[in-house]
Parts: sequence; C-alpha cells; structure tokens
Amino acid sequence: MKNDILHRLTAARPAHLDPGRPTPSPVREKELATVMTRPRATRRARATAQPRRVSRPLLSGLALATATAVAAVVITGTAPEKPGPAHSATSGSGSQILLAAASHVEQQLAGSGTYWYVEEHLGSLHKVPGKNYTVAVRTEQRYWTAAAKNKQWSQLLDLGARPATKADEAAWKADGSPASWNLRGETVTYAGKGEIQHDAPGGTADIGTMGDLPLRLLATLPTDEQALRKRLFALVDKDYNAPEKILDRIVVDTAVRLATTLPSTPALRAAAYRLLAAEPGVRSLGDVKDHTGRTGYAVALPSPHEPAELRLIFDKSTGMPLGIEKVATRSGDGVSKGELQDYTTITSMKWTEDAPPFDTDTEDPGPISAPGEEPDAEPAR
Amino acid sequence: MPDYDADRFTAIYDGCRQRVWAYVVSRAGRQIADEVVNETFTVAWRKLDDVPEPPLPWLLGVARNILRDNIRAEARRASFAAEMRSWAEPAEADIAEEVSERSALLKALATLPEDDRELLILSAWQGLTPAQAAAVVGCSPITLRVRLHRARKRLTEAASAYPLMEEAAAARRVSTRVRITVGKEAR
Repeated sequence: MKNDILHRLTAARPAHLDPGRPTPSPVREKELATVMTRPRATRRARATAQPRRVSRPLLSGLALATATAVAAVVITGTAPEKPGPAHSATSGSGSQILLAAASHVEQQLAGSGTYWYVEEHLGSLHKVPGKNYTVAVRTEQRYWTAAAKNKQWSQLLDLGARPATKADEAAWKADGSPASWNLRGETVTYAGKGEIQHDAPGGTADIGTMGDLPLRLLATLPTDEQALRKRLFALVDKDYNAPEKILDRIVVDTAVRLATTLPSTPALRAAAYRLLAAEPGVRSLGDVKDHTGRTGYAVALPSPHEPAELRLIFDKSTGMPLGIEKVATRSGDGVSKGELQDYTTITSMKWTEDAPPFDTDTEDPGPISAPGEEPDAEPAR
Repeated sequence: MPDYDADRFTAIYDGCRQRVWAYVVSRAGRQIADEVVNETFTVAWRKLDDVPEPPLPWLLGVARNILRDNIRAEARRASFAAEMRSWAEPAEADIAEEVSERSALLKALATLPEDDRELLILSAWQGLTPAQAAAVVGCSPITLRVRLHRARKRLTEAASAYPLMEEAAAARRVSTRVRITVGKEAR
C-alpha cells in the first residue's frame, strides 16, 4: 500500500519531527536535572490513564449548529439593564463575604426528593461583526439529577438573541432592528428556536453524569474546607494526569460547582464557599443585580481556566447562589478586558418528586460539522 | 530517592522525550514545545508509579492535557502558524517532484480540523497503533478507527484539491480553518 495516504503522509513528515532523533545533549542534561529535583507523589497510586470526561454540556446556543426545533417561544422580554454587578460600598473583603455567606447558607434546611432540579438562563455575549453593538445569545437549560442513581436528564432551549445592554439596543435599532445575526459563520435569531435538544440518561446524546465528580461521591465529601480541598485534589489526581497547577484549577472549578448547582447539602455548600474564600485574589463586589433583576451580593475570583474573573452572586436572604458571570481580565481572542463574556442565572434549584417530562433523547442529528467544514462525503441513506 | 526510580525515569525520558516533543511541535509549534515537554515529564516524575509500560501513550496523553488546559489558544495559534510556515521550506535532499508532493500533503494536513490532524499525526508520524492512539485521545479503539478512517478520507480529498487552488486562496483558507479549529478547542 505504497500509495496509501498514511504512508504518503509519513514520507512527508518534516525531518525535525522524526521521533527517532536523539534529544540534543545539553537539552537532555538540563531537563533531567530540572525535573528530577521536583517533588515526587508520596503515595503509591493505582495506575490510571483515564481521560477527564467533559464536565459540562455545551451551553452556548452558538455551539448547537444542528438541532431540532419543536416549539416556538413567545418573546416578551426587553433588553436587560447594563449587565454586570454595579460596585457599591460594602464592608469586608471578598473572603470575609464568602465566609459570612457560608455561615448563612449552612443554616438552610437540607431538602430531599427524587430529583435535584436546576433551571438556568445562560447568556453568551458576542460582538456583531461589522456593527457597533453586542448581542447576548440566550439559552435556557433544565436538568434533573437523580443523585442516588447517578443519572441526569437535560433539556436545552434556544431563547433567541437580544442586544446586550440599553446602549446596544439603541445601536441595534439604529441598524434597522435586524431579527437575525450572523456570528462567526453561525446564524442566531431574535425569536430563537425553542427546545433544541433533550437528553435522557443512557441515550446516544447522553452527556454523562456531571463529569469528574461522580455524584455518588457527593455524600462522602468532607465538610471541613481543608479536608474537602485535599479530597478533591486526590480525586482529580487519580483521574487526570496533569501538572499540579492544572489539578488545583480543576479543584477550584469543582468547588464552584459544589457551591452553585450541584445537589450539595448545606454543610457541603458552606465548605465549598470556605474553600473558595481561601483562594488568592477573591474580592468583594458589593450589592449587585442579576439578569432577572434580583438583588444580591457578589464576590469575584480568578477564573480557573482563562484570563477571566468569575463573579458569584448570592441571595441576601439565604446565602444561596443566584448565578455566575464571567468577565475578561485581558484583551485578546476576540474580547476586551473588562467585558462581560457570559452569564448563568439560576432561576430555579430545588428537590422535587416531579419526573422529567421526557425519557428519550432528541433524535441524533448526526455529526455536527464545524463551520466551513466540508460535509461528510458519505452518501446519506 | 531510590536509584531505581531515577534509572527508570531516565530510561523513560531517553526512550520518549523526542517523541513527545515531536507530537507537541506537530500540534502546536516549537515556540511552546519545550515548556509543554518539561511539564509533561514533571508529571511523569511526580506520578512515576502510575506510568504504565509502554509509557509513550500515557506521556502523549499528559502532553495533550497540558496543551488543552494550560496553553492559551492565542499562543498556540501563533506558535502553530510559525511551525506551518517552516514546514513549507523544502528539505535539502528533496528532488522537485517530492517537494511538491510533500508540500501539497502538508498544506492539506494544515487545512484539516485539529481533531483530524491529531489522529493522522499520531498514526503516520508517531507510528501508534489505533489502540495506542485511542489511549492518547481517550476514546475506544473502535471509535478511533472510525474517526481515523474519516480523517484519512478528508486528507485525501484536501490533498487532491490542493494543487488546483490558487496560492492566495489557499493561504486564506488555511488561516481561517486554523482559527476555527483552535477556537473550537479553547476552553
């Protein structure tokens, strides 16, 4: 098979990428010396080379290029006020605010039920190419988690895009109020498509069970924040082979999820708040309004995954989470420093006996093509 | 530290270091390769008891995690773009016909989605079996065979289409595709 494309590709490999070449001697000496003076893991762990599972379903409406529209949504909303928490005078540092929220939230009653139900409104902000305004691509996500069975159902609705702020709305009107926008090769509409996908556990489009933290472990997690951090690190380290700084970031990411939408007990949620309170760079943002107009207070902490800041918003009367916003802290990759990139507003979160309204998956639409990618040449029969 | 561990680690390093480097360079360019390789072997040292035999798929999996989690999309894009330009330079020993074949294939490779490109590189340049490549990218060997089959087909199509395209149009397509595939993987 001399003409096989793989053989031809092997022959075309640039010479410097030949994996059989020796490592230059000075590089070898230096690298071995640097690496072997670093600390070793103390425990003898079972060999695992499992990849980390995807931790969240795709949340952006933009990401769902192919989907089935089954319902139209009646749009009555108007553009929200300028998004993002407004600064105001507040007492206490970010850490103190989080510690106070922890004391508050751990007094909440631990609920019970068959399903942990979470409903979120998500907005992803995008500049309209060639225009002077930004639209929020809005989706609603609902999920039902049967923690005891480690199963999850989810439903995704396209709520349509809206100018992001009052100023964006004015610029949109001056632009002739278009009802659809082309953003990086994908079209989003004002009306939205309604439900675009639902997944039941075990189906073809199943997203798994909340990623790196198996839900059955929730009940076993310690409620002391230092023990919690240690345990989360050990869990991540077992499952994922990466430098410690990456593992630390995954621990923070997991703590944010324990603090927000996972079915944590009040004590576990409080421990997650306290874990986050110990993160460097936590600061208070004072009183804020979320995207549904609810008043709360917010703290900001560095995003574990990108040059951005996560703003966690809490309910004043319960200390429970209201939502998360992500703000860029550096310009680049199409965003400017200080810009709101996306927001998640928790509109409902409770234990319930009400089963999900579906127990099958949306029909698999087939492989999703990347923008600009040629469609698969295989005959569609 | 026991000498046994130092010896084993050195043997793993000598057997695999250049392979890991070549994998990282072929995905993300030379500018960031040394940093990623260094971090990969730091993880291998820290978790030496976890490193299986043969160690290469495990090491490539770690390098892959680092590329995804710790390298900014922007930096990776710039580094890979520079790398691709260097691929276009003919090697000294090549005769003209080989140069154009090589150049067309490499350009075609660069136009493919990043996921396709990775599978082709693991198979054709690293010489991994489908089962080993599946261990690196974290899917089943069966899924990998299906994905590799598609990637080969797309490479064949891209390679046959390439010489017909105008150079300017080709360059534009390369840059667009790279932007999209890199952006898609950015977290």
